[in-house]
Amino acid sequence: MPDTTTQPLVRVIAAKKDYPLGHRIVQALRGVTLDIASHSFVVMQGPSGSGKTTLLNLIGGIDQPTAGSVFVAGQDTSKLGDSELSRFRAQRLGFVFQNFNLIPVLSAAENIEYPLRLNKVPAPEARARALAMLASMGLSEEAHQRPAELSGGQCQRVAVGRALVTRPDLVIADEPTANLDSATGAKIIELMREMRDRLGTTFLISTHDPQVAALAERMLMMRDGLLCDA
Amino acid sequence: MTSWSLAFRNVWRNTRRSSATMIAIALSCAGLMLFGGYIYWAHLAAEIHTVVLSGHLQVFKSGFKAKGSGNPAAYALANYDEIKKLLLADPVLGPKIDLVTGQLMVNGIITSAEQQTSSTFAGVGAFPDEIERVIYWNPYGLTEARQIPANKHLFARKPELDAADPEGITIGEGLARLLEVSGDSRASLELTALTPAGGLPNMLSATVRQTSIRAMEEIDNHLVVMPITMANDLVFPGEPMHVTAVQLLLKHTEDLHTVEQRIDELAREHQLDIEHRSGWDLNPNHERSLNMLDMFFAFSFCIVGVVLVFTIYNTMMMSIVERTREIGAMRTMGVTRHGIVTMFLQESVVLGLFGGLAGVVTGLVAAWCINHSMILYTPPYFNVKAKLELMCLHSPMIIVGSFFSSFTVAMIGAYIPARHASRMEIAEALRH
Repeated sequence: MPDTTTQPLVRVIAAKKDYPLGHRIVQALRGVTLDIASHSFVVMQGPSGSGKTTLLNLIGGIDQPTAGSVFVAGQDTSKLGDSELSRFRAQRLGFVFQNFNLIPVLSAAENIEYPLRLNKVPAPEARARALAMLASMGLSEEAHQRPAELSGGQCQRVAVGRALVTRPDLVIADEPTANLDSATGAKIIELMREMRDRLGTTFLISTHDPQVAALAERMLMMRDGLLCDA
Repeated sequence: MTSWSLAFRNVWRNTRRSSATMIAIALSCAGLMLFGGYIYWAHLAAEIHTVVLSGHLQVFKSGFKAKGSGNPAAYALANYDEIKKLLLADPVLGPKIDLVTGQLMVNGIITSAEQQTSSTFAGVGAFPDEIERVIYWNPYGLTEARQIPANKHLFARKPELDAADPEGITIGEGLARLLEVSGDSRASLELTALTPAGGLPNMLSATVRQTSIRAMEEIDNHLVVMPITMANDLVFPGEPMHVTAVQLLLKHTEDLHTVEQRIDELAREHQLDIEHRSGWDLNPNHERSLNMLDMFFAFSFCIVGVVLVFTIYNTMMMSIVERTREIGAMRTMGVTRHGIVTMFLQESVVLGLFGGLAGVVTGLVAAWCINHSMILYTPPYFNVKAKLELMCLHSPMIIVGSFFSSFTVAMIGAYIPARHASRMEIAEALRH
């Protein structure tokens, strides 16, 4: 197992991913090798079907490579069982989605509180941390509102707060601004940068949005299942 | 925010669908309760009718049940008083016995000289002051057939026998019809029966006090209830009291097995030439009818269970399809497969709990309405009306069993969809 003190936060080694599609096999990833250092703000671009989401899924431990290895925080995620992988995701990773994927029956505060409760944080502490996170995102007044009562930008800020509240090593964001207008999208990316600066969290973002790409510290380009030089 | 409050909120996110599912659970639970209440009534009614016909237990001279019905007198017991004292004085039996009485069965021919009619009869000689306690035995307070207005004219309006009326007999409604005599006519009838000594027939005159019924046509067409002294004079003229059966009423039916065992022990200890049969052995049709009802209940239970399983399954599957992406997102946050199963089962618990409770309330209200609406019907083998009674409140097992059955079935119906949800590929779920 790699030494986490010297190794990058994410290490992908010759990762391949094949999908069956009818009677044929689609090669979504064709041997990707990648290192991502801690505390970095990495943006991945590429056309639709280039394999961005597949690579994010492998790094996020929600899919397994057909070949190759994926190490996150020194852990080979393909070696973990479902329970261990779930615990790993709960403690070390955060996710932000294009469609927010907030739990509609929970308020903004409860949505942020939810991953803390999964990590067995006592309820009063979880509630305090969730409210603090909302405050840091300027959403204190919306704490008790449900996602249906929030704007798209507010929902995505809640989603970012939910991803960050457990202090994960890595936040994976798949098209986080795709459903937002450009001004709101820019605010979300600014918020992510700010959180990275404040909390030291590593961000890996896939996007088509040039505005987001412009804020990248490091740019990755995907094409036809391969990583190209940016 | 707990997992239970999340389950509760998830259940109510689609109010119409959840309400429909709860109504299905409630109706299933109520249906089981009502049918269970009816089965319970049927068991109690059968127990009462069995005891009314034969007592809890009858003690005979050995061989009576095999051969005695053709010639009851040949198998009569001459030591009734001795047996009665023995049973009542026994420290095991005494406290369990409510009544020990004797019966002398007489078969013969009954004739109305006035009407020039005759018929065979199956007579019972009984102690006038004791027979009423047997035929009106009703410890569970069920509505008796004679209390139902539609039946009232069929039943005796005064005691069937009276010690002050030694020649007065009560005959079955069907027999009265055959003999063309009416209940209040004080008609004179002649009873002829064989005596054991020499096989010569003996004849006595009797007066009809009234007609009565035992609710079963085959009995009522031949029934003659007479004072035991008259029966003894008819079969054993000039001899001391004989009985063909010592009949026992118990304080509690559940003591029957203990009582039977103790009587066996006493018979061995005192070398008594006796055998015994329970009322249920003597009236096996009751048990068979109940077995059939129980089978109906089991069959209905299975149908309700299967329908409910598919209802819950459908509800849960629809919920899961709608929430596929949400399930994927929860899995990314660290919810395990087991956690997803638990979440949906908790939702099913909420559905089952509220549906089951609504079912209990619905069942109780429906039972109350039915019990107070005097719905009458004629049960199989009977010739009187019975009132439809649903005894849902009389046994906690009916309520608890119906509730937990529907609740458990709801859980079973939810498990497969829940497991399906937990097995979704996260990436696939997020793409949904």
